[in-house]
Amino acid sequence: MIQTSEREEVSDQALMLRYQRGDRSAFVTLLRRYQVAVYNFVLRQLGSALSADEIAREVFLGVVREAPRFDYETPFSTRLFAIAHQLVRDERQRMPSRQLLQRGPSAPESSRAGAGSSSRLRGEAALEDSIVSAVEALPDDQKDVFLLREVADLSFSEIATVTRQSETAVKIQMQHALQRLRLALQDFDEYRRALR
Amino acid sequence: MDSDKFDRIVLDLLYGELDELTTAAAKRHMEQSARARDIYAHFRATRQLGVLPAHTPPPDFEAALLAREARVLAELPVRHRLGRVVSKLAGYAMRPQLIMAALLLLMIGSSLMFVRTRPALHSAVQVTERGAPEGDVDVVLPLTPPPSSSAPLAMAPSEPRAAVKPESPATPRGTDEANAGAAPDAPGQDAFEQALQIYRARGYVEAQRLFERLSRSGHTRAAEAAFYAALSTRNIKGCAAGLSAFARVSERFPSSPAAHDAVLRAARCQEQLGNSDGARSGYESLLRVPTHARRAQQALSRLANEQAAASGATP
Repeated sequence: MIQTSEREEVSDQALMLRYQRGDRSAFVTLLRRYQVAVYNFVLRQLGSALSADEIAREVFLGVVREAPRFDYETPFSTRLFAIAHQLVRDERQRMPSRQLLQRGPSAPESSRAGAGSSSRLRGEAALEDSIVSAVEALPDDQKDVFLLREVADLSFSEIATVTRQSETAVKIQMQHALQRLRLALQDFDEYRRALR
Repeated sequence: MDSDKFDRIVLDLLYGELDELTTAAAKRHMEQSARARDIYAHFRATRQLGVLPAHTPPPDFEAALLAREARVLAELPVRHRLGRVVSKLAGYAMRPQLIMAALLLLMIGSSLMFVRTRPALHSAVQVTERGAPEGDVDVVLPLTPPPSSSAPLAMAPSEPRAAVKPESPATPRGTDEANAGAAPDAPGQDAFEQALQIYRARGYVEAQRLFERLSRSGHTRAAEAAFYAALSTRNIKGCAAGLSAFARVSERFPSSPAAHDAVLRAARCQEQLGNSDGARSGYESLLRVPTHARRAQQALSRLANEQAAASGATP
């Protein structure tokens, strides 16, 4: 799960209201609050840093365009990731061959696995690679649900709103996604230790 | 809880979205079911390990986005931009401080209609209190009794008439001036008027003191002063004390207008004290005084009527 920055006292809704009234600093606060989650959500969906950069910006620009008629009864995060979900789907349709769906931009080698300095670190890097590969290999619907749950930190009901499905359907897809991940992880010692 | 229900809620349990009661029920079910324990353990382990590495956006992500945000704002339809302006203005308008300030200004503005500058001299109205106290309306002394040779009771040559005519320059003032040192003011006309004003202002104690002093000082209006001193006594102590005070006026200044007024006042006090015979006797004595005969006759008639009414009402 991606650790988002700690929420300030000002709610998302209050910041949107301030932004509606022309306070651009409120938008900057919202941007800094959600940019990591949005960027990683898009990155894990598309697998391309270039596309993720552009699509993530479009997500926030979608918020800018919707601001004058923002629906305050919907949580801001739900609406934000609904925009992101729609843009990702559009991008998938635009590139059906998934030319860009390769191994996503991983962290710099120097910050990952210590460049093979020890077998333990190599094992962690292998685990991380397996996780990323397993997530990217998920069917789109399951990947949507998994990323909205784990990266965007939305509840199942909010995911149901974003994906326009029933909550039960969302949970079934999440179960399938976790079972697929389990298959990818179960050979690791870390998994066996976590089972205890 | 059965296995089907557990399967439906296992994800909620994994992500902490269950209420306390259902969570406890699910945990109890896991204690009894190895299958449930196994399902939950695998989900928990998968979730625990399935943490994706977080990547930060490119360094220019925020700057480039804000630059495009400004362009997008500029390209918004006019109605949306107008909506932002309206929303901004409404935000200010809805602030309680602004509402209170507007109300305050409205109140101040409306109250200015009632504020006038200092009134001009010609528009000033002066009100002066005149007249005697309510209880003494009919006490005004007959200041100008027409001297009549046919009057049955001729006034004594020493009658203090100064009260009814302006003080003559020839009036000897030696006595007043001699007694002036006893009073804070010279016991002259001004002293009498001053005492009278105090009496009219219902300062009876001070008025009694001043009138007593004037009556003893040989003032030209000593008889009037004695009468007012008696009136003050009655007002202070009541009719019982007033009777003796009025009697002293009659004794000190017999046959004077002040003495007749004192008799009239004493008779009214007798009435108030329930002594009708005493009152009637006083009124009858005034029938011979032309200046008081009419009021005495009226009082006698009233007394007779009241007596007749009282006897008629008595079975």
